Amino acid sequence: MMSTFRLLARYAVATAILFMPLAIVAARVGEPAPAFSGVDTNGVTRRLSDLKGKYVVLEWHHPGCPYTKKHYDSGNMQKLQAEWTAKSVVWLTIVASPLTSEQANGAMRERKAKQTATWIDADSTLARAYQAKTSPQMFVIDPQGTLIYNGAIDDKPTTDIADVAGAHNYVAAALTESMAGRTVTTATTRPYGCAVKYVSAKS
Amino acid sequence: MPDLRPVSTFFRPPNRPLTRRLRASVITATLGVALFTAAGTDAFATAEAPRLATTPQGSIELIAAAPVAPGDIWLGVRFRLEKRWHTYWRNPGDSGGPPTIRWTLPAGVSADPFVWPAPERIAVGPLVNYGYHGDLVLPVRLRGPAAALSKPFRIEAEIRWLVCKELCVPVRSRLALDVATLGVARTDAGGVDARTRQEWTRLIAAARRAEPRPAPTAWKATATADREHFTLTIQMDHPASSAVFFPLEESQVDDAAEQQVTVQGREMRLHLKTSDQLTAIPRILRGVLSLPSGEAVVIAAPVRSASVASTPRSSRRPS
Repeated sequence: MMSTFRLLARYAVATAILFMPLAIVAARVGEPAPAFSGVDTNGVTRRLSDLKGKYVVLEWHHPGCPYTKKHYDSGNMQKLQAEWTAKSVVWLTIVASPLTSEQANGAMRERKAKQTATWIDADSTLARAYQAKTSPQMFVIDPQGTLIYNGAIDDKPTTDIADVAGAHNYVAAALTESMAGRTVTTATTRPYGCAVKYVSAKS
Repeated sequence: MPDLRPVSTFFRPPNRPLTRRLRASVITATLGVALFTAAGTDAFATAEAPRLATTPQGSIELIAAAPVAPGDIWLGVRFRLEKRWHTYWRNPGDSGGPPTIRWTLPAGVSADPFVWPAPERIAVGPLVNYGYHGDLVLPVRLRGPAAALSKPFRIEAEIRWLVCKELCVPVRSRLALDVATLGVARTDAGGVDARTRQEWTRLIAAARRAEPRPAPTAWKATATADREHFTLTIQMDHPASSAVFFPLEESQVDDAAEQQVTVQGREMRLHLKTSDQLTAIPRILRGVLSLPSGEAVVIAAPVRSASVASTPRSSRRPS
């Protein structure tokens, strides 16, 4: 397993995605979402500043995490992605593990994911900027660039697929309320899942 | 197609050909819901659930103490985790989740929640979890009419628990135990011998003794809070050099932040950063205070808001 890990790490370095320096601030609901700029797994540059006027969802993702698997194996995440990207939401899946672009794309394809783009947070820059703790953790940014939701995907913090059906989905609720011009009722929750793996900052 | 991924390939890129995946000598079957379980942990295939299940990450076992009085039945869920693996306290901290249990009990009998010993702080990169390494017993008291508890009966339990190192494995274990209530001497009690039964009794008693006790009445705990910090002040009946605070509720205290402790005589003051997820200052800050002596005390400190209105927010934020 160690050798696989090293191999992956080497791939990740080879295709390292370099983020522009960021002012590191905590991602707090009601405040401007931390800026980001990077290249996704298809080579497209994604800047938060270019996404003004659109809702943006950030989904922290570790393919092997049992909590993430719960939402993909049930089809719940794909359904959410399809529903909201159809309403012009930009859905960015942030991969917090040392995969290559090809591996990440392959994994998302295998799961028939419907996200707008995927990128690999190889050096944990984005995780630090947003203080992401878990996979999955969800952030919703409104068209003005304000963070309007930070937390869990829903109110059932388990790995059990049977819990998807009865869960209250906070992301869908935040998007629905905000698009209707209402205040987001539940804007901050405790994210649940696997700990985001932080890679030591290179300085 | 069933998911045949063994646990050890957690970091395996999912698009690797199936033929190259490890064919486990131990099958990790997926029950159609992709909740993969580790070797031998899953007893669903057999009609008779075992008392003990073993996984590559550790074992889980149902045990019972010899009753000190008829009808006074204490059970325990005993974990013996492999080196460096951990499972979680009732408040897991930044990630993870606590073990949960669903009992199948005789009519009229119910089970109390787990008794949780004080946890340890477990650093995972820059995050902190609250949990346990090594050996752990979570005692549970059964309740019910004396008539139901005074004769031998069988119980079953489905336990879902998450065990983590760098990676996490969710495990679902179905265990069963024949609870004999007539005393240690019965060799058929739970299908184990008297010596094992004594060992179980000792383990459960020790775990119950390790339960954090309510703060002595002589203690006084109060807290002040602003947007950034709780300051918890505890007047104790004896001096202690330091302490660790484990919040009972999630999303109040920043789990990963360093806890600054100052001691003056019998007064201890803890400076705790508030959680990013704190939406309203709680009226009471509850937690377990763990002291170097091994003592663990439950604290419930009324919280006074420290001049939230009088201090402009901008002045309290680092520039």
